[in-house]
Amino acid sequence: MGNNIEKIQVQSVIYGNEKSALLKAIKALKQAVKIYQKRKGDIEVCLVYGDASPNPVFSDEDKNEISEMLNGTIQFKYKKFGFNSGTARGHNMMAEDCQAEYILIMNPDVILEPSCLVKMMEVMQDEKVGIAEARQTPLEHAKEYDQKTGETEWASTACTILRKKVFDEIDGFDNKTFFLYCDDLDYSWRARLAGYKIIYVPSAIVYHAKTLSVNAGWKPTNAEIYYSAEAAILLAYKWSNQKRVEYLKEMFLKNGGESEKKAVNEFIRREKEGELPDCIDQEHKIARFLGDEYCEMRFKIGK
Amino acid sequence: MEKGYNNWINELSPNTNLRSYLDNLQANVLYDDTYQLYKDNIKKTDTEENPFLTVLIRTQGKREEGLREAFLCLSGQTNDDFEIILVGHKVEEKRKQIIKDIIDDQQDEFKSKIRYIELDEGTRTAPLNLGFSLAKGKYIAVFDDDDILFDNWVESFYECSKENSGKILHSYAFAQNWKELKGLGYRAETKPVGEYCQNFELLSQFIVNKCPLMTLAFPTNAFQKLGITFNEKLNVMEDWEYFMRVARICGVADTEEPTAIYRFWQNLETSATLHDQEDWNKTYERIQDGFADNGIILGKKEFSKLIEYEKKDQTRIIAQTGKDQAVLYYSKGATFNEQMKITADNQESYPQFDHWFILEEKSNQMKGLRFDLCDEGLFLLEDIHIDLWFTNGEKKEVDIKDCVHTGIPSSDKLLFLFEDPEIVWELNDERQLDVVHIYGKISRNIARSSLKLRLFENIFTLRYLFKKRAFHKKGWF
Repeated sequence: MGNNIEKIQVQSVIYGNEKSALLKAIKALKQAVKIYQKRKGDIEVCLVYGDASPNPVFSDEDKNEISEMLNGTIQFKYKKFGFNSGTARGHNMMAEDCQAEYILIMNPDVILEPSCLVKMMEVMQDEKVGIAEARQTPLEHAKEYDQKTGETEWASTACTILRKKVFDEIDGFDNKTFFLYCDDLDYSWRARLAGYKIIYVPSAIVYHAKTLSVNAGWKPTNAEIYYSAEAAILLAYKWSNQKRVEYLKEMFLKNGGESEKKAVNEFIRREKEGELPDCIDQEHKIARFLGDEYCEMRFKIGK
Repeated sequence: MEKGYNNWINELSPNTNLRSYLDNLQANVLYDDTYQLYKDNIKKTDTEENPFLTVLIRTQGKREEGLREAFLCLSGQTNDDFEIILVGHKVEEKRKQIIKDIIDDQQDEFKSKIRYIELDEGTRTAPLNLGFSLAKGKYIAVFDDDDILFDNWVESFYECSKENSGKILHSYAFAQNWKELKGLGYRAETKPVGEYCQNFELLSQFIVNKCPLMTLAFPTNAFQKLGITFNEKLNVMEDWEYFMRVARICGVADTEEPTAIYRFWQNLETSATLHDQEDWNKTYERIQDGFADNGIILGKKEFSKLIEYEKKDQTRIIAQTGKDQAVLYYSKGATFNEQMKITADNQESYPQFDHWFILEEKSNQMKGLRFDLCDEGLFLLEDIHIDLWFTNGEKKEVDIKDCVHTGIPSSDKLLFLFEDPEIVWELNDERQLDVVHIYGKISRNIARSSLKLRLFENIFTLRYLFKKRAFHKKGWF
């Protein structure tokens, strides 16, 4: 490695999370960094929590305890946003003063397997790789990927390493358009538009606690339904799929619940106010819309 | 009272059912020779310092990613009141360091929960006896290095144990197909399905195992104080056999919560691939003989169910006096639905069935038909004929082999184990369909020779049910 010490900034947007779950995740991160140092060498790690909660999760005392716990391994920064930033804006804000070459975006309650960082960073050694994504357990994301290379069309940001150079090149997340959902999809597609690859790393495992109903279906909340509906329409618009925009609007208004109707109204409002993004990829080289999916899926979990 | 109770047992003649059952337990189930081999390991005393749960993991070091993922799933538990006994069974020299490295990689707090023991002898059952004898937890659950847990696995057992002390605790699991990609890692191939998301049913559980091992938490005392050990002569189905021996004594309580994913490996070595069908069949037969020899005590639920089956059998699936109706669904391309069906009385008496379905709409657009004989399961269909009559007077016989159904083929018969049996077939004919005539015979006399052979298939046919169900539910089937 010589004198070039790898630098990585780990960042999570937190919002009313349980302290115990966050501490568990922090300890797991610390262990992953220790294992990286043992196997690969020095690495400088900065953990940044951006707190978008109405009432901050950590007190000053908590913050000091965490810093102490991480002492020697990871530098800890805690930023209270004072407003609900959503993930896209939250991550952009945290990345503003990032000096590292890599950004590890994590859901705040994700638990890293000890060898996870080693495996993901190995993939990032290829300069053409813009994003490396870990495999979630117990419920793996169903999107398809190349079974020899791991190359995939987009990465969810449950646990993903971004190349900072690419982040800067494509202006980070589009927080003007996306609040909570599809920001990762949009980022992935822009990274690919700029010529970078996305690699899925199945051997890099993270625990992301999710549950299914007894009928093996998802149980989304109303907020999740609203934000994902809003993002779906905006994504289709931005990526030049007007047909899908019209289809979603019609479907949500005809058959959707309150949350979905609200999402359509928000889109119409933005349209009137001139707040919609510029349309890109008009030749449809990157973005794919396969029904309700954005790439081939190995399977689909119902509701 | 206790002395009186023991004296009362002794007053029972050895020929009585209860005394014979208890004597048999004592002679063949409790404190057997195997127990004598392990009893010196048992040092646990009941103290508050003992964890709630012992998690027993068997490994041969062949699945590095699996073991890492297993530890990760345990790290993610909402309830951390557990210890881990990791038994490295017949681990090759080159893999021993891999296991040690994986343990060493864990956080100190988690590492302190792990006891790693190498065992170089015995069948795959030996690590179970070893682990059970060493366990300090009030309960013990086996979680092999190739499955996945949700974060509520320990907590679910814990909550259930509060009102069900001494019983086996049973939770639900999803099933999912996985494979290993060389150089990349593990990959989920299908969505999780709720095949093991059902309560424990004692009677049907004697026929086929519907409870993967990680869905069970055994009271440790069943091994350590009652002396019930795993049968080390078994190479396969050892978990099922043990489970039923303990279940008959301790009973089972359901948590009714999904807590795990049972991975079906498409390209990895498993006990299913390591042993041929003949081995499985012979073992199944031995286990079934053992079940029959030892008898059971029926709880209220099982007793009621047995009486219900007996009553139904007397009065039948096809009523002897009345005319029971079967249903035929037809489709022109859409999913089968209640708007497109016909019912028809049985023209024969039990055990024969004979139904004539006369279609009101004579059409050559029919794409598929589905025959629902009844609501119940646990019967054989013999000599089944499906004749299609067209308006031009011609007849076509449908071969049962061309049908998709929820039964298990057994030579020329169909064994329906589960409720709501269905037989579905495709139709692509230019002629107008007029009448569908279905007839045959039902039997509840399931010959042991066909049952033991075919029921083993059912263990794997559960996987085929996914395919059949997928076929059933997508598109118009």
